[in-house]
Amino acid sequence: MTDKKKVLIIDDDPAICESVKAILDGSGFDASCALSGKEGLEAFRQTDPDIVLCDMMMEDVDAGGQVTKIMKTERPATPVFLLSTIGDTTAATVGLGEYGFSGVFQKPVNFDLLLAVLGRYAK
Amino acid sequence: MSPSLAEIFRREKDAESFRLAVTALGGDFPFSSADMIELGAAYFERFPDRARERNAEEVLRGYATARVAIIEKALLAVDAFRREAYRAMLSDVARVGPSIEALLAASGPDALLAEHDALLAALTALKTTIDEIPKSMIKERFVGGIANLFNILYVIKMRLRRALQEP
Repeated sequence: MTDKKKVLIIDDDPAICESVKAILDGSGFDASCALSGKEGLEAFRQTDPDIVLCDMMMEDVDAGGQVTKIMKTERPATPVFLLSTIGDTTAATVGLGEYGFSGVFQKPVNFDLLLAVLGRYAK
Repeated sequence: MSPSLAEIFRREKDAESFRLAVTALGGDFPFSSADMIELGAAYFERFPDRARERNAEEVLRGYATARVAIIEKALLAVDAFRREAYRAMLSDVARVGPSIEALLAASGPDALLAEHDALLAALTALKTTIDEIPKSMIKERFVGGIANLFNILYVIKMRLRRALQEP
């Protein structure tokens, strides 16, 4: 049995998924990838991750938001963080709080910060 | 004077021939925010964006197009004889492990850490240029393109830190 925290990465860019997974795996997490909102929701239900990192624009411009709404309805306690290229101003105006995101990390991601935040949730 | 990236994009028939043509320039091409916008305009002439029912393949191709140019500019910060190794790593995170092992054996961690810092500074300067692009799908493709290069650079730094800690 592993006591590593499971992190689900949902992003339609396989290159981003693989690089984020490499960083998280190398930092003591057990990361997995899903390449669309639909695939992400299936993985969320099957693997019951401790933390989710989700892109916004995938098969639809707000696919990440829609998927997050469902995930937060099914498991409200699971933190879901947005990884996105939308700017801070946009993030403030498109109602990210309505989707239930626990926080936003702008791409390019500051991984020192992200790992510190995930570390707090992993305790 | 080198042709602009937009001219190269319009001239080349596919992503691979564009990559080869840009790589052959060795970073010797204009790459201001205006050049990025011009390249983006050429890209969207060929692959119009749809906000709804996005075509993931075309979005990823846009990121890849931006990355080719960003990588070649950033590699100017690296010693010429190591550029091919960095080009491979920045193009595929799976290449980091074997490539870093080979570079470490040849150069040692201190030299590579200095090179990492130079590459990070080059990418940061390019991100500043990208930030000058007005909010648009062109900007989104460049931000999406450069984002993964920062990620891979972080993976490289993790490997180097580990190498420094090993006896």
